[in-house]
Amino acid sequence: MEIPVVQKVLKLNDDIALLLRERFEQAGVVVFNFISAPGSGKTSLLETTIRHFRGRFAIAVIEGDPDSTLDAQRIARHGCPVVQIQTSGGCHLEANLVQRAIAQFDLDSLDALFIENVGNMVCPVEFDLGEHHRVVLVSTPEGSDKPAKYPKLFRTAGIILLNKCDLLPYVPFDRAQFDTYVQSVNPEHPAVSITATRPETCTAWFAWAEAKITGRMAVPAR
Amino acid sequence: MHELSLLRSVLHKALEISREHGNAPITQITLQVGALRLVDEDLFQFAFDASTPDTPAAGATLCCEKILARVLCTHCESVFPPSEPVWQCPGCGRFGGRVLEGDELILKSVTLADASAGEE
Repeated sequence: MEIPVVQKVLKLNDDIALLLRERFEQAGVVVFNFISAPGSGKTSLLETTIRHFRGRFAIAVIEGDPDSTLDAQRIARHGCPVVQIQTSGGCHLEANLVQRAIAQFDLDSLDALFIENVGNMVCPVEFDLGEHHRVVLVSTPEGSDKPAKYPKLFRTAGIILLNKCDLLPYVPFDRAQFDTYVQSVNPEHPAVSITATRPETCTAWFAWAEAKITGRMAVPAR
Repeated sequence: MHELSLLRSVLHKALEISREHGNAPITQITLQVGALRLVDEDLFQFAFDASTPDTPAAGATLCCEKILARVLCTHCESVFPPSEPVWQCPGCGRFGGRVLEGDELILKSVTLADASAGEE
């Protein structure tokens, strides 16, 4: 006896993500999901960004890692509320994990929530966390072919950041090829060059993030 | 290896249906998988076999129906099968496009053993 179902396989996750997004809207919090390979500089970028927006925006961070609380310790040093999710080897964050983590924040007092996903360019792509924007990082030592190898990740990005540009003189990275690949998978979002450890190189990123945060904040006010 | 997470969701629904029918054994689970989904069918089957012993889904066949990808060029409205690694419209040469088909990941049906065939 064949029983028709016709239901999205990710329905459980998507249902929770929908609830989360409603909750974030209600609280006026803009949520960014940072995805990249391990070691691309997500945590360094978060540190630089938190420092830049200190005193202007109330930011909280969720750190996702297979193990350890090292990243949460780095974020906590900046006086920022942070929850570390340990996935026990799991390769991505899911909406139910984020749901549990946000219970530890006073969401209504926040302007932005940064979620640092587990370092991985495949699995996190499939799981909606209720975020408003996906921030995709790739660093110059990883090579210029990444957008062609992981097109879906780059296709779903709201902004693409090319990190560790200070290493360009020392690593074989074909910028023209990279830009062609980015343009072909995501024509609307050209890559933005940064060196996450040097805030003076991150102005375009800061401006983009600020526009997204203030854009959202303006909505409930009116 | 996010296939295990995907599978959890499939099994959740399939076992619910089995329960509604007196814990009837599941013989087949049919999925529709778009070509653009990041799903490895062999890993999916492996995760399925590893997760189902001692459940009504033990021994069931996992059937993945592939859905080919079709992309619409938003400039000239050509519809084309996306080429790898990049999508380039064969009509006007522009990059990108909107996905019409190929992004599906759907639990299509669950097949239960007929009650009369229970002695098999």
